[in-house]
Amino acid sequence: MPGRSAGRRVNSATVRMVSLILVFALGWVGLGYRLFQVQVARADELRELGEQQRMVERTLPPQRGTIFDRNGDLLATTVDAQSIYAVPHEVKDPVLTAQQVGIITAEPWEPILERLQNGENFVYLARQVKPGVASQVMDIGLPGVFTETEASREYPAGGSVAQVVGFVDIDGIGAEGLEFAYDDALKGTPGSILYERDRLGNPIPQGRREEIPAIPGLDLVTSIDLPLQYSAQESCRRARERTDANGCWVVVLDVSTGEILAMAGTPAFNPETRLDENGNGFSNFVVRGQYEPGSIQKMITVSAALDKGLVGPDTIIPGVAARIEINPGACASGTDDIYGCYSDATSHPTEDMAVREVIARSSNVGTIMIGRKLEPETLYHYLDAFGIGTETGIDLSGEAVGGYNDNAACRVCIASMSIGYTVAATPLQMAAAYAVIGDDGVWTQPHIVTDKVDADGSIVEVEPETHKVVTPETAQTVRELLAGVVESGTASAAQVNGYRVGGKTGTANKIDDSGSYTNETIASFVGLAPIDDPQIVVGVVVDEPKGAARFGGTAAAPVFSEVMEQALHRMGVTPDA
Amino acid sequence: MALVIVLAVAMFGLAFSRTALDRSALELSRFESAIAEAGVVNEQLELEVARKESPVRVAPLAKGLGLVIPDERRPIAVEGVVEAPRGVERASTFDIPVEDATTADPQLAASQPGD
Repeated sequence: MPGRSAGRRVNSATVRMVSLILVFALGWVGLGYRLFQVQVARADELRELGEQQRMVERTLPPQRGTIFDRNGDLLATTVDAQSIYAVPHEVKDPVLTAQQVGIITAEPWEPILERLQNGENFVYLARQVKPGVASQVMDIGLPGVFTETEASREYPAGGSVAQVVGFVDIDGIGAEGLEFAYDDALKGTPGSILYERDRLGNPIPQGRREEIPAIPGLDLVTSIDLPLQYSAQESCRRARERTDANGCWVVVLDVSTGEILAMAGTPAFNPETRLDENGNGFSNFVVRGQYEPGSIQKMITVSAALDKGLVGPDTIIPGVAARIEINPGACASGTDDIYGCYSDATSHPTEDMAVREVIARSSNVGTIMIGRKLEPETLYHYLDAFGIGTETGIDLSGEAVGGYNDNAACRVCIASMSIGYTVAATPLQMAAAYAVIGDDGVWTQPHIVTDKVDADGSIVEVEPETHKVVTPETAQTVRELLAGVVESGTASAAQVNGYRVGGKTGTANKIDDSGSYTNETIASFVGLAPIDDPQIVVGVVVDEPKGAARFGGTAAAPVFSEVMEQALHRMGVTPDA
Repeated sequence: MALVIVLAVAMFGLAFSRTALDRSALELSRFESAIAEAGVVNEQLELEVARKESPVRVAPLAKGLGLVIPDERRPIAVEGVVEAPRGVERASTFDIPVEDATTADPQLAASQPGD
């Protein structure tokens, strides 16, 4: 039956052929289905997955702006620093790791161990360490310990300018001073970069790359003169040692522009430890400290009376006694100024005094008698115009406002205000008030930053506010009165070699927590030079000087003399005496 | 045959230029890294210079070397250049003409107040 046999073979071959075709067909269908899935159905998902594997996106941190002094010297800049971090689950011996890192970084190892054991997947062991420290740690080859580059803010001038510049926190965000006030301008705008990498994580040359560059922060040019700043701080340091004072603060202002040339003080602040010499936090008394200015405010009282034409420099104030009683019986209960009994610093017979003598001798009684010629609203107007009780608007954070007591029910407040009590002012406000006298009666907003410079070098100049306070004639008269204070009055120690200067001493008793006046004082001096064409104002405040040097003329005036002399020479002011 | 040869050469040329391009890109990448590293070093050096120049460092060193701030400065006004304020010595003490005073010794001229 060859025919039947052949027919079976044909059938068998056909079956095998058909089966094979079916297998192939199914295979192709399967492949087609898979292809459809990959190319169409899951195309987006798989494309994204592929991109995730080979594409890396990183944020490009912007370079924080640099801060310069007026001569182009660096006050704050940003450099790369190394930070040491760990992936705790990769660390084999946490105790040993903490100890080794602690030894090299000179930090206690227990907190490092705590961080390693706190259950996080990523912990910093030490941030922004000094150059060489990170490589020492890496050389040991501790498992799970790595380094990364971070931006570190550096202050090459150290503590001499720290109270102005301030500092940033560990994440580079402005925390105090200019760093805080100008954080938005300094920080810049982050960028981003998207690039293709190989399996080792290296960028693929010619690979896909999309970059949005970071925009660097603006550079700030300040009006600070670094050598003068240092010199002012040293003068304060010496004064503090000499008088055993709690603190000493100096501000140096350019009369016509309102630029701050120096703003220094002690106890000095250390930007590395974030503490001052006494272990306290950041402070800047020139801007944040409020005190009763005492006699330096007599300048405002007399300016108001002169400007209103109520007195002239040689107007005689008749019958100036050594003591005056505003509230009947106040003097009988003691000499508590706030309740209406005011005395001059030294006893003298009742006498007629010219206005210039009242100022030169800093007579409280004489000044109160001048002040009583003013309507309360008039005195308030001049206090406001001179900037007392109003923020100057200086470009630093935390400025104190100050204020004065304008309560009509307060019977003694006008008298007290005339001589600088029941008034709270900052050293900066007082310096700016004296700059009014130097600038022919115009108040100019004190400021530190003069220019903002972007990465292209474009400069944005800062324009300070100004307003008129007294007439130029009044200002000139007051300048002569202030010169008399130095030449024949209470401030002979304020004289400056080669220059004619003017200014006013102030010695104000401090108030304790209960509101009573104590024997402790705040001694101050504010003055201008050269007095015939003032260029510079220097204000000095010494907090609680002890012993014989507890007065403005003995504690603050010598500091003024030193700082003013340096300032005049630094600014190239021609001598006039 | 000629077409094959042309195609082969073209492919070889394409491969060569691609390799050269990649090599250049790699080199460029290395240069960019080197520039970035040099930039970091430059920043560190600028910081170091600023620290070295800072009065906080220089003043104590100067003091240690015996340098002092002069007790009294004696400004001298050069006649015809600045007006001599009261008490300030006049240029006649130099006994040289103004023109010579400013050109003969630039350092001296630069130190005059008002210049």
